[in-house]
Amino acid sequence: MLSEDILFLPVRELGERIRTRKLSPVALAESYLERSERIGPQLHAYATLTKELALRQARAAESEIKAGHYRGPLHGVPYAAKDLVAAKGYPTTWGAKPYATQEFDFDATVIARLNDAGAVLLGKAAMIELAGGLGYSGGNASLTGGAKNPWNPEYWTCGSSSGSGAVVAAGLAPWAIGSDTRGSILCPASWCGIAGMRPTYGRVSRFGAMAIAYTMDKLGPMARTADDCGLVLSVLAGHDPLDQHSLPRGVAEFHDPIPHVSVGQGFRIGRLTNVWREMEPGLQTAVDEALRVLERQGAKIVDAEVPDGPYEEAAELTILMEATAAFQELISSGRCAELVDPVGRINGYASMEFSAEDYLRVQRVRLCLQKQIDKLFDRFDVLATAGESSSASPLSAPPDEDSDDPIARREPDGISSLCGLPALGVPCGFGKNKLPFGLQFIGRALCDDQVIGAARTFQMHTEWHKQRPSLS
Amino acid sequence: MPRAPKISRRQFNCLAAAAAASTLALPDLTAAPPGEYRQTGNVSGSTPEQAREVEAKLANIIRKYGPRLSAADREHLRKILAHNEIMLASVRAFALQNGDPTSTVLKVSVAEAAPEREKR
Repeated sequence: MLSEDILFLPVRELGERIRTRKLSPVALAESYLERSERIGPQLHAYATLTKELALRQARAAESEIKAGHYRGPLHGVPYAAKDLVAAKGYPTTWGAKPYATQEFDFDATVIARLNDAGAVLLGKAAMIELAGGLGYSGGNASLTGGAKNPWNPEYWTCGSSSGSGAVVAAGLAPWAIGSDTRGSILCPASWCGIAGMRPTYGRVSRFGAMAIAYTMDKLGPMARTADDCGLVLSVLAGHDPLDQHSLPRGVAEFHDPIPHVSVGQGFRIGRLTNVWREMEPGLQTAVDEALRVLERQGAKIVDAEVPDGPYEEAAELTILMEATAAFQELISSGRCAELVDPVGRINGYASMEFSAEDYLRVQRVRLCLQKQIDKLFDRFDVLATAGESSSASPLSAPPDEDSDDPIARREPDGISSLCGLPALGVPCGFGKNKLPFGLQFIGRALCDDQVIGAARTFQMHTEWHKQRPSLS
Repeated sequence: MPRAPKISRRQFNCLAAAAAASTLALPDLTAAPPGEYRQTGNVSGSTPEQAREVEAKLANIIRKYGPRLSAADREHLRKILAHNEIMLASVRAFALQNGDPTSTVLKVSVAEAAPEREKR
């Protein structure tokens, strides 16, 4: 089996070693599978391992490369996919008991694109049931049990891409597909100490992926580095006529590498000062220290405030209303009672009471908020703040509804998700119990290259992303 | 969505205070066995109108799905509905003009974003 040092290499480095035939795709897949079988169950990281498929794809990659048919930087590189993405021949459970035996006879567009790129699917990553589409109150709301944080298994990975976060942080795969409706990539990336990217809405096709909120769902990469996120995004992105909301041809594509974007003289970063009500001690210091790293590279750091507005309310209401449409049959039939979480079992009934006027009102306000936020980017290339307001919570933490917090209407995930903006989170330190702290960059719509450029520059001058948890 | 909708203890205190100030006598649907409707108590809501809305929606849910819901489920639903009303009130408070369109399908700002990229 290959050493842990190899298994924690970035995707770009793995791909280069495969291209130059210094690394065997078969040996790499076998090593990740062995590690996934040994460590995965301890963390509840996977829903399904696709061992047979992985070995078949790895052997094919090895033969093709040997024969001189190199497909590109993901050829022979393993990955995991959140279990809401259809992969032909394997269950796609959506993390929920009512769909525990569900199978699709086609591949989601992202899986098809990765097949074309010669990538190797190791397995389907565990997730929060229905990606939290009907609401949930804690990390145990999953068909496969609560995902445990590789940095400390008493703590949660965050969700809903909970398994994708655990898989990447534990070195069970070099990268994974996550999905993000409101923070479901950014939060696990922050809590697991990895990079996670939510691309601009519409850049990556959702065809074949479970829908929660049609106007807010995004798929994106979770990996070791921001650079890897850009590399993977270049394969995932592109127009897809099968996704109604796909960006047009010529706009949806994302090209790697992006050498023209790096933080240098004149790069303007807005340091958000009013989005979190409170933060874990030490976190703001870690964020400020990270921004000083970029300042030393020539970036101009200026405090920025998000204008007041019901961002969080509009985001939550949109999700509740659209999820009720997406899961109408599950709710009406009463099979929502089979969900693990007590909130998920009944929340749909409450959401069915929203009116069409309510929905349209929210969507009218949403456009105004979108314009309000877009104006901020006249002054800044990216906005920066903590990935989350704290490091990971214990898996056994009480449900959120017992918290003493009012609605935090300007939380960055609500804002950027509501407005379809790209965001990328990377680790920037450690907090209590040696759990990772995260930093995130948010960009203007379609400026995915700016958030990657900022995060990549930060990682070129720091070592936080090279830390890894002790696992056996 | 990483978290379920939050309903804070502080908000419930506010809701409870508003309910206590209210003279509304509305049905305690959580105490009723499935399918039954008994008018016994007050409901919580930040305004009497919101409290009435919560109870009307809860009654409608129970009319349609009552046999599926325990007393605890009903109480939980009341809290969720109250939280939803707070969020709706917040959105309704945002001033709109008649001509403000809907983002029924979200469109990213393609035309506005592209020139910004070209500047760099």
